[in-house]
Amino acid sequence: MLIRASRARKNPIASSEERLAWLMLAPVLIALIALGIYPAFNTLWLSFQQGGFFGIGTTFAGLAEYTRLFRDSQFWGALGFSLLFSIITVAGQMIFGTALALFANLRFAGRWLVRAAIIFPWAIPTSTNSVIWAYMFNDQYGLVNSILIHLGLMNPAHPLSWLGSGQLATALIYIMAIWKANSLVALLVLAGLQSIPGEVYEAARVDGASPWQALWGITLPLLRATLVVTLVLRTIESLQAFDLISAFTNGAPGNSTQNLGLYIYVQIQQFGDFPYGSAIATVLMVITMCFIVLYMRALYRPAAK
Amino acid sequence: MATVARRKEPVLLNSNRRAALTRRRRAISLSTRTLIYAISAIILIIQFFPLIWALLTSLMTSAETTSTPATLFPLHPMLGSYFQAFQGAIGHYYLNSIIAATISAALTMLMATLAAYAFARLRFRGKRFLLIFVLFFSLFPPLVQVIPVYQILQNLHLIGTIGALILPYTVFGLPLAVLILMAFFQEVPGELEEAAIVDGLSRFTAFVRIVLPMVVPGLFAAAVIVFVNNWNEYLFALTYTTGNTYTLPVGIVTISQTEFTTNFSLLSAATIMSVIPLVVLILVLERRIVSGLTAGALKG
Repeated sequence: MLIRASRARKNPIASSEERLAWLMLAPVLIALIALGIYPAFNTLWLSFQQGGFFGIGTTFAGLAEYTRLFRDSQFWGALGFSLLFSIITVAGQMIFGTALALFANLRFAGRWLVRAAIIFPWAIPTSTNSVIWAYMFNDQYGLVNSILIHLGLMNPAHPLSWLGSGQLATALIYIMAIWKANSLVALLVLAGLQSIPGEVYEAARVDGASPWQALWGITLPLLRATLVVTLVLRTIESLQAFDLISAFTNGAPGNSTQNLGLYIYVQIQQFGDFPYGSAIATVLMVITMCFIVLYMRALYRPAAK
Repeated sequence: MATVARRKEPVLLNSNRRAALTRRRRAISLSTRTLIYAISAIILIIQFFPLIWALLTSLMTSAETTSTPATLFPLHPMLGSYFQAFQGAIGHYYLNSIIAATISAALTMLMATLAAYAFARLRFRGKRFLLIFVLFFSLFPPLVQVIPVYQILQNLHLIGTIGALILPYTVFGLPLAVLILMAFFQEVPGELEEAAIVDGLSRFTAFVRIVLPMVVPGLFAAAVIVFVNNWNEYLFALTYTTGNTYTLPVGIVTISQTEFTTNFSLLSAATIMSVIPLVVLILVLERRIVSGLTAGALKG
């Protein structure tokens, strides 16, 4: 005991804690390095190449593909779409998802149905869901126009082409994305709410706090870790969105709903331009990292060390 | 015993106050009950809207699905699309999806729980760096990972087997699962664990016996999320599977879409069939997500 204690640089408890930490981290780190490191560095490496076709015959080009980005107006359009899409839909998902969870946490008969319903939008495969939405908003045989016609709100001779207008299509993409991922936020917040002991609320009620004050003073601060993590997860996924839009508008009309995910797809799968696609992906990675650092700095203060 | 002692003097006051409280609570619930059910109804409609439409579409003939203006209710409801989905080997896709999603979700959860605890509760050098390192792997869009991962899987001779999905699903689900679970571990008060360690439990035993039961809601929530992500994954499944190992999202598209046309009725039928197992799963786990804490507290 004594010998071991003197050998350890700090105290024996700390060093055994550190050993345990590494043992517990090992499976995740090994798995990620084994399968993840090659794709990640392959992308970084390719982004400093140029030319080639489907990754064959590329040559080193330094920052050429990055400078190419500056002159590419399609890239800037896609970047703008991605940023706006992420900020708007993640904000919407956080607000509506949290509200849904708080509502589903009330006590009332039949709330299990609401709780089960929460998850539905998210349970449908993203690409299939987008096909169904595109079908609902189809100008010719879509449900929405049909309802409007049956209600006498629309002239059957002049159906509204929802997906033919860039602004309408963008708005629908926002709505669909918020609708689809509310679930995930609500599920996590609902689970987080279960770990708040009821006595806390009892105490607050006795002290005369209104439910609104309890929400902002107790519930949300106690959920901080869950909320920040959810925000980070939603941000990562929204910036990488692909299925959702590709099966809905595929970037149309024109390129008005093209985000970075779609643009990477066009470069890689259609043009076979791996270096350029990789450069865009790397920029996307850096942007995502900035968002995460920003959110964590602003919102995340570990409660206990 | 404590209750007996407490009951002596303030029994009157206590019961009075309690009666007042329940009265007030009942009054609130009476006035707001309508509101609660109205909101519930709106939530249900919004959540189920496209799925109801899919259900109606699945019962329509293909002529009805492409009429203008759209047929709102199938005039001659038929189950033909569901039979067609079965002929299109949807049963096989089910099996593949269940195997791929379940095994990889279980492996992800097992590894991520250990790591998340270490990140949330243990002190070690380089924690921040390692956390960013783990997150780093979720920052590249799957679109650029598909091909290099394909090369790895090919070297392992996994392409065309279900292992070609289990391996990447397990690994790429890790950053998300670690992050979610970390949040739940952080919300457990530290005193309980410290008390257990003072009582002579090892750190790891305290983790298994004290902390883990307290995060059961979080474990189930994370498991559901990881499982559904795997269940619905499209890009990897499309690239790494062949007809035999198609999962549901790929299978649905394969059986209902040709290059130029979509059989909306079949697509809807297949979608509904792919959602049903998740509904069952969620209904079973819903109680666990919500009651996990109390169950854990009773056990502990």
